Amino acid sequence: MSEYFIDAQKVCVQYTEEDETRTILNNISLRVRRGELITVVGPSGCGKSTMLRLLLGAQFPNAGTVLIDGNKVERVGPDCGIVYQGYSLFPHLSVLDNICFGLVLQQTNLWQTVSALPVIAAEDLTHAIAKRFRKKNHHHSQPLDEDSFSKNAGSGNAGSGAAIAVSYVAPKRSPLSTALEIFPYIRIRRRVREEAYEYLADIGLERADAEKYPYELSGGMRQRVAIAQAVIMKPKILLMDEPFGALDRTRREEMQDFIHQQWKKHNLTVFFVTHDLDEAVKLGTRLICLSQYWCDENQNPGHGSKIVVDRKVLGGDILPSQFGDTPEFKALINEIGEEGLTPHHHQSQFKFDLSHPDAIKEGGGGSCV
Amino acid sequence: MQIPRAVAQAKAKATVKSHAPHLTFFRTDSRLPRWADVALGVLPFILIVALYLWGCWYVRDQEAHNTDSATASSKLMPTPVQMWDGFKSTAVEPDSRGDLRLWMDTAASCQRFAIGMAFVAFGVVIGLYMGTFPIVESLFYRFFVFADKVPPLLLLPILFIVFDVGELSKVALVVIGVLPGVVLDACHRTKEIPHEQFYKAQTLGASESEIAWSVIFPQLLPKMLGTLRLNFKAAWCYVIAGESIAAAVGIGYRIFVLRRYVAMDIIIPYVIWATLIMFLLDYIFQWLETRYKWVDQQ
Repeated sequence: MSEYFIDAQKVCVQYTEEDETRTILNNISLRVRRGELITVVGPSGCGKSTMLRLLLGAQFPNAGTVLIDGNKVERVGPDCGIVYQGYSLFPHLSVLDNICFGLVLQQTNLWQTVSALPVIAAEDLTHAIAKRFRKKNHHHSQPLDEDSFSKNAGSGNAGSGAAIAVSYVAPKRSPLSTALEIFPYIRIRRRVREEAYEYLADIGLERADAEKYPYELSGGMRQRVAIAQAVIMKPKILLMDEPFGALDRTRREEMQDFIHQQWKKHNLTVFFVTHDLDEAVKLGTRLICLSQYWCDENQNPGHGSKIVVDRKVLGGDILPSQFGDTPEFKALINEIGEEGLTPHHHQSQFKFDLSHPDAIKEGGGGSCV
Repeated sequence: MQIPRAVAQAKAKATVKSHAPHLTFFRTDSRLPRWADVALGVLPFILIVALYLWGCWYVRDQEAHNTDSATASSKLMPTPVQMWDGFKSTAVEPDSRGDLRLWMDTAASCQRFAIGMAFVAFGVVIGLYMGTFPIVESLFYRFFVFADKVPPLLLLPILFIVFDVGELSKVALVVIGVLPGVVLDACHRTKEIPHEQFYKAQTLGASESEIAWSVIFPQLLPKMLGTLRLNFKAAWCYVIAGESIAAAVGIGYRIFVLRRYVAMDIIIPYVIWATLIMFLLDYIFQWLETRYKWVDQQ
């Protein structure tokens, strides 16, 4: 088995549109070790998301191989978790149901799911009718009694004295509600939901948020839930496609800290695609910079994206702000700009004397370890 | 030149006045008060009733003053009292066989409608699979596009020949008339769901069928309630049309029998009754749709 967790070798991706073949990724090789947080930056259309789809299994290379944990990626499966900028949550499910979605699926089969659909619809309808007759100021997102939770201050993670661990105590159920548990799907879903309640506090959500729908949450909250939804399944690799692209600066910084904390806590391997260089530098243990334009060793312009920089940017727990400030790196990014490197750039322009000796800079190269 | 203070004040006042809201009812962003909303909603009904009452009075007045040209005009426009009597005669007074005709006809028509719509609702599942699996789409899409263009009423004689004049032909008419449209709409709406959600579900361990039933179907359902609701009228029309040609009981049958006797005092209440049934059903489905608030927020 390969020592590398992700091992992509000489990957080419091409699209053919109206007799015109367009190379998106040209001979890219990429190796990632377990537990790395890889950030990928580059201009629009350089193939960042294509790389992510290859790892996800939603797309296949025209040439080359992509291995995850020694297995060839052949289809989208539970090995990967994915977080998108939008569409990350199922709009018809509450926050808690979104988080539990994968766990419930794991423990139920298709027949149990389908047979419970009318029951769930009827249950929802009953709630809706009951809600209509409820008092005006009774907020619908509080389906549980205050007593359902017991708060134990100071019993959180070691070192976080102010943390409050919120443990869930199941509320009293009506006889009808109990009777519905003859359906295995309903029974399992309830049990999983009760377990997942504890996870809400972990991602910084309040109990009142549990029954909210995604549209009722802010962008940052949605992404927290989306990350929780993926992380709870313990994926081998977490793929993130510009997840914070729609957030304002403050929320974005909060979420960067959040993903960093989750990465460390769950020892995840993360492949993080972003437009934002600062974000890439701040988060990544390694930063990969893709460009649409490059020159080969003979200074001939090439087509299709290449990895032009692959840098180890983070050592230990220190956030690499100093790396983002290096003039060489700034110079490179300025060169790349919005358009990417132009074919007339000579590769020698991008030879940097950076502090990390394992930095690779190849004008036409794409081999990164 | 300095403007006199009084003039300046008058100008300022005029400026304020010119910006004062007026005729806000005709603004695109106007929000009507509840009373105005209700009043405007009721107004067309009041106008129609008022016009009808005036017509009743006018016809009777003409008859009273012009006895030579005696016509059946008053029979064509029964008064509300006559209609109420007609309604009561069918709703609470048993006929010669001892049946309460209104309820018997209503039950028969609603049964045909409900069975037909139950089959039509199955079209949501066909559309779901067409939108989810390209192989199912390839198999059925062109067929349903073609079937959607068939004028269902032209098939009525064929249905009566094939299925006889029993219940099956009337239910089949509803299904043939409405199902293709529902299937195609379900297919298109399934395709509107972003593919990223399918990938997401797959990463969470969902199989293809679980994606269809756990991710797509719950998102499709509220939208299809709207589609079914909009097809109620067509389905109801097909039921009435089927009954009017060959049936022994039903709202359509009764109206077409009463037509021979120009019994407008019963026909009009029957029409209002048939409309009210659909109005109520439409209202219930609209309420169900509004329950899914997340649909509009996507």
